[in-house]
Parts: sequence; C-alpha cells; structure tokens
Amino acid sequence: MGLPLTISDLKISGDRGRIILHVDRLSIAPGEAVGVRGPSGAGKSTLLFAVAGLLPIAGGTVRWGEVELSALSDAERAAFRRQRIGMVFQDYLLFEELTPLANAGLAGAYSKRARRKPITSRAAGMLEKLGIGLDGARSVASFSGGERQRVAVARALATDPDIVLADEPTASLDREAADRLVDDLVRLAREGGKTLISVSHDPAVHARMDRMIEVVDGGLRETVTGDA
Amino acid sequence: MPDALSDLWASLSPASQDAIVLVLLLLPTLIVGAIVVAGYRPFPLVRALLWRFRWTNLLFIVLIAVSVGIGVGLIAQERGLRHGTARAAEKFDLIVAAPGSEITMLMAAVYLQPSDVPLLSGEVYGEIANHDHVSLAAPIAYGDSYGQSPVIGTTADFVTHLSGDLAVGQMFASRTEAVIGARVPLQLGATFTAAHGVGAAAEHDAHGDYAYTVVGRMQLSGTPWDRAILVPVEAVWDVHGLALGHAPERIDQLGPPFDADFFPGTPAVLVRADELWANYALRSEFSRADTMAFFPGAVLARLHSLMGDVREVMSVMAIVTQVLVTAGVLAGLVILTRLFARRLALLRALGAPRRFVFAVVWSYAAILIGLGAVAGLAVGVAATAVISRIVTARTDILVRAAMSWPELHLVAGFVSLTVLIALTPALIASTRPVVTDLRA
Amino acid sequence: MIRAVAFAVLLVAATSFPAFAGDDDHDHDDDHHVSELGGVRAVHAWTRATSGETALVFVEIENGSDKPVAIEGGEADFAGSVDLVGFQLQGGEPGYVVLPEVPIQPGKELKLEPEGLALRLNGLTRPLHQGNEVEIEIEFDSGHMDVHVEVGAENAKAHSHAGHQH
Repeated sequence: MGLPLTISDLKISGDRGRIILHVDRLSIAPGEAVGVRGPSGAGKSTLLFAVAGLLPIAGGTVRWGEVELSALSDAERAAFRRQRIGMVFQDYLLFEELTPLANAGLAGAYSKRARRKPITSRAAGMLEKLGIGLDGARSVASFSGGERQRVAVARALATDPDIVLADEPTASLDREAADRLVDDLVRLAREGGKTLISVSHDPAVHARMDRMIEVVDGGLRETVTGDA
Repeated sequence: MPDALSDLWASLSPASQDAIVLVLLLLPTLIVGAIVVAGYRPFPLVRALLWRFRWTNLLFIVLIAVSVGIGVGLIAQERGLRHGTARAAEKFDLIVAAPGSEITMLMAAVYLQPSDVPLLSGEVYGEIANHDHVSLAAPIAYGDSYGQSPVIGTTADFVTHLSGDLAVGQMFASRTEAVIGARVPLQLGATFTAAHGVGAAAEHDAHGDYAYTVVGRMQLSGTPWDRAILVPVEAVWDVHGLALGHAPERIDQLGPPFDADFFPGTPAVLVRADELWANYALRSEFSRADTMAFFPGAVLARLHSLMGDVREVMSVMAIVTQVLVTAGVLAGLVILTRLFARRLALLRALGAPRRFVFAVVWSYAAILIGLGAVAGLAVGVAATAVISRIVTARTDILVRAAMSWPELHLVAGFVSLTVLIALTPALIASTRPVVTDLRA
Repeated sequence: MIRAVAFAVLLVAATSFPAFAGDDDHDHDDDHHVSELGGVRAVHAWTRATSGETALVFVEIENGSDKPVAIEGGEADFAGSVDLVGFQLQGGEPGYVVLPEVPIQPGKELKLEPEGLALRLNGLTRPLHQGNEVEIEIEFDSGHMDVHVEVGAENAKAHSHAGHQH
C-alpha cells in the first residue's frame, strides 16, 4: 500500500550554500496522487529529488510513513528507494541496447536473489498491461517516445513500490502519447494504491491528480483542485 | 611445512609449475572480480555499455593490444632467436682455432660469417686428430665463396656429421666435387667456380679455371649451413696453390689422415669427443698459448645472457609502455564513464547500491583490459611470426617463435595489475553526485 | 638492418667478455688459495654468493704427479651433495649435466670454469656471502683434498686473484 509523506521545515541548499527550497509543511496521504507545478527553476524537481532521498538536506525532516528518510545514510536511502520508490523521468533514461523486459526488470540486476524473479515477472506483466510486446531480442532503440516512456513506467512499477515519483513524464511526448501515458501511469498507480507525486507543467497531468502543489520561488503554495 | 611445500613444488613438472604460476598471477583478477560482482548481475548492463560505445571501446582495446603485443613479441622473439642460434650451434661441440676472439671464430665457423684469422698448423691438427678421446676432428677451411654461398673445405666425415645421409646425390669423391646445402640455388651436376673471398670484395677471377661439380645435397638443417657449399679441404688448398695435405705419392687421397709436413693449415677444427666429459678435458687441454678451444654453446650462452640483459632493458621499456598506455586507457575510462554518467546516476536514483555501479564500471574496464590482453597475445604472435620469417630469410638461422609460458605470465601479470588499477575509475564513477549527473 | 643490429650486439659482447685469463704460471706460495694432494694441486677455488639451493664451485686442478688422477666429485658439510657437472646448451637453455669423472693426465691441468666444468653443491643449508670463505672436499680417485673456496659476488666471472701474482 501507499505510504504517507510528511515534510516539516525542509531546507535544501544549492551549490553555494544558498537555500533553494524551503518547505514548511507538506503532508500527502497514502495512495494520494499529487501534482507539482510551478515556473521553471522554481524547485519542482528539487522537491522531487529531496523526497526521493537523492539530495542532501540542510535542515528539517522528510518522513515516509514510519521511516525518517532525512535521517538515513546514503546506502540506507538507496535501499529505501530500491524497495519503496519507483521513478519516471522526462527523457525515459532507458538502456537503449537492452530489450524492453531487460529495461523494465533492471532492478533485478542489483536486487537480492529472492526478489529477481518477482521483479522480472512483474516487469513482464506491466509491459503487457501497457501494451508493449515482449517480442524477444528487439532492443528499445527502435521504440517511439510513447513506447519508451511506457517501458519506463513498467520499470518504475516492476519492484511493486509504495511510492511513484514522476519528473515531467509527458514532456517529451506528443499530445496523443502524453494522454495515453498519463492515463496509464495514474491508472496503474491507483490500482496498486501507490502514492504518486508527479512534477509536470502539463494540464493533462494536473487534471488527473487528486490535488496540486505549486512551487514558486523555492516555497510551496498549495492549490486544491477538484477530482478530474 | 615450507620444506614440504618446496619439495612438493620441486616434484612438479615444469609445465605444472608454469600453470600454477599463471593461475597465481591471474588470481588477483579472479578474487577482485568475484568480490566486486558478488550478489549482482552487472553483465547485461556491461554488454549494453560495451556495445553503445563500441568504437571508443575498440580503440581502447587496440591500444592495450598493441602495448601488450610489444611486450609479448619481444619476449617470444628473443627466445626464438636464442633457440634458433642454439640449434644452429648444436652440431658444433668444440672448436679449436688459433688464439683470438672466441666470438669472431664462433661467427666464422658456426654461422659462416668469415673473417681473417691465423691458421692452425699440421702439427696441432695432428695432435687434435690423434688425441685419445677425439672421434671427429674436421678442418673448417673457409674464405672462398660462390654467389651468396660460402665455400667450405672440410672432410666427408664432417658432411656426414652435419647432414646424416645426404638428401640427394653422393659425397664428394674428388677435389672438383662439391656437396651443397639445402638452400643453395644450384642443381645436381651444375658446375661453378669459386671466388676468392666473400661478398662484394670477392675476387671472382682468382680461381679462374678451377670448377667444381655439384654431386650431392645435404638435408635441410635450418642453419646457415643450408647456404654453404662443402668441398674437400684438399680442394681449397689446391685452388690456392698450396700443398694438398698428403705426401706426393698419396696426392689424390681425400680426408684424414693428413700429413703434417704437407698440411697448409686450417682456420678452425671442429672436434667431437667420444665421451661427454672428454669435451671438457679437451677444452682444458687445448686452451693454451698456441691454440684456443671453446664450446660454441658456452660462448652462445654468454651472448644470450647479454641478450638477456638487453631483453631486460627492453622489457622494462615494454612494461613502462604498457603502464603508460594503461594509465592513458584508465584516464580515458574516467572520461568515458562520464559519457554514461547519466545511466549510472539513473541506477543510483533507482536505488542501485553504490557497489553495483562500482561493479558495472569495473567489470566494463576489466572486460576491455581482458579483451585487449587477449588481442595483445595475438598481435604478439603475429608480429613475432613476421619478424622471425624476416630473420630466418636474412640469416638462414631458422627462428621459430611460439607462444610460451613467459608471455602468458607477462600478460596475466599485466591483466591483474591493470584490473587492480581499474578499481580507481570504478570508484570515481560510483561516487559522482547523482542529481548533478541525472540533470546533465 | 638486422645484420647491423646483430653485429652491434656482437661487438658489444666481444668487448665485454674478456677472454679468460690465460695460463698464469706464477709461483703459488703456501697460501690458502692452493691445496695439494700427492702432487695434485687445486688453485683459486671460488664460487658465487647465493641464498639459493645450489652453487657452482670453480677451480683449477694441476696434476703435478706422475700418474693420471680423476676428479670424481666432492663433499661439503653445508650441502646435501656435490656433483661434478658440465655446462650444456640444451634447446637454447643453458644448464649443467652430471658427469661421472674426468681424468687428468700427469703434467696436465683441468680448469673448472664458468660454462665448462664445475662442482655443483646441491641443497645448500646456508647462504653463501660475498667475501667469506667456505671449505669443501674435492674427491679424486687418489683421495680427498680439502679446499678453501672464496665466495665472490653473485655475478662473479672469475676468482678475485685470477691473473694476479701472489
């Protein structure tokens, strides 16, 4: 099941020590789908990377359920991501030379032996649900943007995470592919009861979220939207 | 325990010892490899990276291969040369000559690179030939030539000693007959006139009307003697207007015994003893004021040990080259890993442990190094084969260079050292900032 | 080109390997470089410093007696065994083969020298240090002779007194 997120007084500093993001309070319920929008450079991605435990924090706490992410070591945060978080990026970040299944099941390469099989079978299941054929050795190099991003979504969900973090998932796609992708992403996240946070400037994404958060000038401004 | 161990070691065959050394040299690679990839399956990703940057990777492999090939080729070539020169000297147990340079005489009598030396007298020759333990005392009288072939005056026994049965034809039976080496470009029955001296300075008209007829051809030996023309020593004396080695009433005799009073001299005598130890006694005995006795094998061993010194210097240079190339390659790897820094950052973002990224980069480097090393062996073999053929063609000393344990040891050592060094780029790649690379 | 290189190598070789010292018929006084047994003398025994398993002892033997003698081998209390060996180049690799015995005629001399004959000490029980002297026994068919052996440098090529007057 999804995990609740609680942030209090989170401060992230930039390269020169300046505070680039300050989040006073933010709570997200388990299974909630939250969109993050705001002007470029305002700190949307920074927020996403912070809740993924990828950025060092200068102050405050980030808590996923019982786990205080901000108190964990680098290796522990990696382990947390490995087990609890799935991520989708704007430009897919696939290994072009690998097959869709190898990409979607990538986590098997570094996970414990016991998890490898479930990861692979879930990866295959997700690809199927997303309409990606498993025809053997074809690498993803020949795939369209929409297909690639669906492989990336399958990869994010193959480890059965509690949390899905998406950074501009539709920005590289044409309208049609973007609509299909966001439908798939939200549907699968909801099916699994996963907490979804999606940074996006795409209204189509916003429309499918439970609520929106706006990041402006390194701070939060919450705007509640009705269900789509 | 150390004693038991060293006894055990001593009881092993050289091949097993070499094999064990090879395994020991490779062991660091295997151990590090096993530790680094333990619990992970980095190879599909490594394969992806290898393919993605295939041209760059190929360049790296070629660089490693060339530097390894130089080292391998050097060692193999040196050994091939050593064995080839030794094989060419095998039939020459002991040489007795007038005092002078052993090396000059070795070059002249064994490798047929003639030079002017004083002659041994008939008395000395008799003393050698009549010695209790001497089974063969053959004069080696060089100085004339025909084309590229030195003409050597000697005895039938020496021809038999060199060749065993002749390949075709028969032994010379008169002063105008000759037996030729396997690679002399003359036919059986051909006649020729020897020139006085060898090479460009040879006087072609000196022996104007003294014609030899080829009557036999020796077996191929892989030595400079394949180019030689062997004639009765009496013929060489005859050509030069000297006494014929025998008293006037036995003027047509060929070969021993010679009459000291009519013996014009010979630059060198090849001596075979009837027993192994007697060679050493003979050497001792004929190392004196008026004669010099030496084992071509011993002189060669000294030359080889000098070549060994040269080889060591060159090996150091080769190793320095390899290390430099490797350092360059590894520096290149650091740069190259930046090309896929984003993929590595992605792995970290997805939750892959730092050690997994380390394993991917190290395995990638290790595979480049391994492929380069194996290709290097091939480069070394190919280079050695080519150089050996050239040396053989130019010197008539058959040089066969084959891959052997020392080369494998060198390559194994190189691989182990380099994959250890490759831990550094792996470490650098695995500690890069994730978000920075992800956003790049 | 190859010939030129080979020639250069040989030239260097020729100048860096001086011929072994010729006969030096100087008078050996009653010093410890000389041992004697019934007219047979062993002169200038030497070996090379080593911490390995084997060492080669070189020596000049002069048979000043009136009958042939044969050198057969030797003994040393710091070596497992002592063999009389002869140098051979076998398949391009230098090595030594064991010889049964070598006779020396009256009035003749036998030199045990590098790349020739030698007494090989097998299974050394202690290292040999440069500058030391060790004692071995040379076995002849006519009896045993104690000989002082000078330990030279690891790469020595001759006895330190070779060619010198005493």
